[in-house]
Amino acid sequence: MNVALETRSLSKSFGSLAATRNVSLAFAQGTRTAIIGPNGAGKTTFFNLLAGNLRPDGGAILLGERDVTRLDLAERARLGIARSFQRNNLFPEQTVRENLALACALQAGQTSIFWRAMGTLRAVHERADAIAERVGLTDVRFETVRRLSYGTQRQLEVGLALACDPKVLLLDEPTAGMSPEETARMRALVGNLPAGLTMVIIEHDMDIVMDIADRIIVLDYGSVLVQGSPAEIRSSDIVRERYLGERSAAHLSGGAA
Amino acid sequence: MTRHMLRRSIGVALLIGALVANRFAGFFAQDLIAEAAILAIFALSLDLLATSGLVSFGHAGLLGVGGYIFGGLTVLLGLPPALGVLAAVAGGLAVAFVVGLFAVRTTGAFFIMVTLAVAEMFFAWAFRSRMFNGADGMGGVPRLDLTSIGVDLNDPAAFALGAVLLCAVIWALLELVVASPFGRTLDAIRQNAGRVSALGGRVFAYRLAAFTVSGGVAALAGALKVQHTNFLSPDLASWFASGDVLIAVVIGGIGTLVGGMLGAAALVLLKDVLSGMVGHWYLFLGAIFITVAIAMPQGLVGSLLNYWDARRARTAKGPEGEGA
Amino acid sequence: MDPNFLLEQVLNSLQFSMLLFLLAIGLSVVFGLMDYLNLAHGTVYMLAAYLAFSVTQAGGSFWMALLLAPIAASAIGLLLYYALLKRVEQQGHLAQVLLTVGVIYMGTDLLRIVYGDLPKGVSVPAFLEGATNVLGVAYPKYRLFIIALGLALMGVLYVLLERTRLGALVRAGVDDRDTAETLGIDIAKVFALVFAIGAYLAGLGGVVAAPVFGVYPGMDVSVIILVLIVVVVGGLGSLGGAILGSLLIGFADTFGKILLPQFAMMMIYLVMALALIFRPSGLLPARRFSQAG
Repeated sequence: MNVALETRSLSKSFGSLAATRNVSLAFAQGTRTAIIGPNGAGKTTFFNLLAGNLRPDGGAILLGERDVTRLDLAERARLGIARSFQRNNLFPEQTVRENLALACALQAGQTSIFWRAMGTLRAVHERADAIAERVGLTDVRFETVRRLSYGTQRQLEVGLALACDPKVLLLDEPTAGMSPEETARMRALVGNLPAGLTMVIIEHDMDIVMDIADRIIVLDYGSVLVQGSPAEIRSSDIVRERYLGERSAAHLSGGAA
Repeated sequence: MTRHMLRRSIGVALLIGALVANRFAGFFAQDLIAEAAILAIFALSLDLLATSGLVSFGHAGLLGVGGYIFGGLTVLLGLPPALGVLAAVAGGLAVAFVVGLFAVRTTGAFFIMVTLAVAEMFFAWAFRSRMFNGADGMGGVPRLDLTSIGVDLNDPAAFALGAVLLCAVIWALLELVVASPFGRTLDAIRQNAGRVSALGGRVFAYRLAAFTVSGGVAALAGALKVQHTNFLSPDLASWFASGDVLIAVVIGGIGTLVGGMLGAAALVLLKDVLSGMVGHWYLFLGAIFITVAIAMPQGLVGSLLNYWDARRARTAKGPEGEGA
Repeated sequence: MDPNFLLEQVLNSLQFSMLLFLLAIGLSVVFGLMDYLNLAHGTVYMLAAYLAFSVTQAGGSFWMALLLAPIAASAIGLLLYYALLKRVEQQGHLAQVLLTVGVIYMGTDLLRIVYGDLPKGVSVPAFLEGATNVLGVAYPKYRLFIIALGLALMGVLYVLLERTRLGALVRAGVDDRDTAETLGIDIAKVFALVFAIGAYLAGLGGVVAAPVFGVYPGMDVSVIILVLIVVVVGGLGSLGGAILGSLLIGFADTFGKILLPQFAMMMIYLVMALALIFRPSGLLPARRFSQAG
């Protein structure tokens, strides 16, 4: 199977805190991998390294055959690594449609056009509407983002990542802070993403993880504690002891995020 | 009426008002109208930059570049003023591009200070320049020669008319740019530069482009300003001039384009009225700044637009409830 | 270069650096803690210089002026903060610039109404008059006093910021305001105190500068630009940054005037441009992981 994204001995420290330790992982084309672990396990740091928000201290990141370790966030996004954020990270003063259209225009390389109005880019807006449909935002397309509920903004967060037409989609806790109804909606949304898309998701809700992922990676203190299929993870003693069984304890013991 | 229609209506009304006033006003008022129109063009250039989330405290440096190129070519080399204007704009674009290569890497207060530093360096050079007669400045700067089409720009009414029309053209062009995919990207960068990067946008390149264009427009304003006063001096590039245009934009409402024009008109008018009426007029000008900052931190146009939006949102809340 | 001349210039640079430092530290911490761009910081400096003039004019000694004027300036500064500056705390840098430029305009004109347009002088106390011998160079005693005062205050501020509870609160607030607030630190109160201390130090700078540079309308504006540069070069919110920035700009200014008299003013700006090209957040910023952009 083709490897879509791979890390080799990836490391990152903040002062004396090692947030990512020697992580070597491969994400096969079209697979859905969930990353779990207690708060402070280094999940978001790992995402920041993959997407290019942070530079690793050591190791390499490969997108397909290509070494992208030295590329910045924007360059990696153009090569097909798209991410959503744990905290909503949107353009609050624009409408949902404007948010999505901008992302699509950036993806299509049409944002250097300065001589005609944004509204005249029809293909871009058609695509933006299609994504709005996919993430369930068609009805609120013309609302200003700032006025939307938190959960609806989370949907847009995923929509923006999808607008990049990614090869690899990184979703950082898409259900963070959501109500049960909103969580159910997001679960359906993520579950219905196209089958060929390579997806890596950080998620705390174990029901969603078990439901969506075909592989689970448990991070702890910045390194891979264990990985395997949902069934294997469920039956793993070490995970049960360290994470599933004592989840609340694990949460409390987590250090800085 | 949408936010943008209201905003543009204010701009159109302002320009028509200036044209009507210019038609019926006397010499002194025409002089003020020309001054306001030039400051408005300068303010538009600063506001284009502000669309990308960057605020310069040294924009007068680029005004100075335009003025000195125009003055140098016309007064010292005796070249035709039309060529001087073109060279000033080209020079403004080039200088802004080169300065932008490093300045645009910083943001926020740091960008404010870097731009100030670069402008002060230009000021320091101009202040000492023997070629341009240093701090004393240089007179005899000619105006554009349009006698071939029957217009004498040495007539104050004609010059003011020209300045207002040019301001209108620049405003229309910048409205187009701001509404374009490029302009929308700048606005997105202002709101959330990190997310634009995450979506694959080269934030640096867009900001550099905005700074460069802004430099060209500022230099054009500089070339106009020295024609208006027929005089060239380092004061053109002083930080007071940078402060004036910044304040014009803030008073009017940053990021609204129209606000910069309104602010420029208000500032020129205020200074004239106050200085004519009272001795210590900076006292009153200061009080007005403070009042605007506290009562309308988004500026005149910005606050009006926000009020407009809020009212529309209230009335739009119909039977479907709170609207999330 | 003649070593005596060099020594004299080094002392001049130090003296100027100390004055810059007195203004920079307040501005820097206020900026770092609250993200407040207070251009009117120089107005407090000017106000204190005029108050010092009044005190000496009324028959008071220089020392009395040095004691009273900064306290009065600090109180007026704090009053200004609560009456005006605080109102645009959440409105961003531009509203702050507009408001504080308004304060500068009003302050300058008010002082002109009271004191007139002509520069005033404040005389040096008797026992600091004249020069003394420093390693073979005759150097004005008063300027040595400025250097000594500056160094002493750096020491006091070091202890205050690094060794006291208030200092810990300030550093926590500068480092991460949200976290500090969730830990129950009343940032608003800390900020008011910091503002008062900053205004006091600026006032002290104004009194000390008065005998050297004179007292005149507009003395605030000419100094505030330099102080802003110090803050930006040094990095926001740190004592070390303010010290380093003051020294760099103090030396660049003094030696720029000697080495490149044609381009004296350019020297400082060159230092700043270079510093920011290589360290866009300043040389020693208090916050290491800047979230700028």
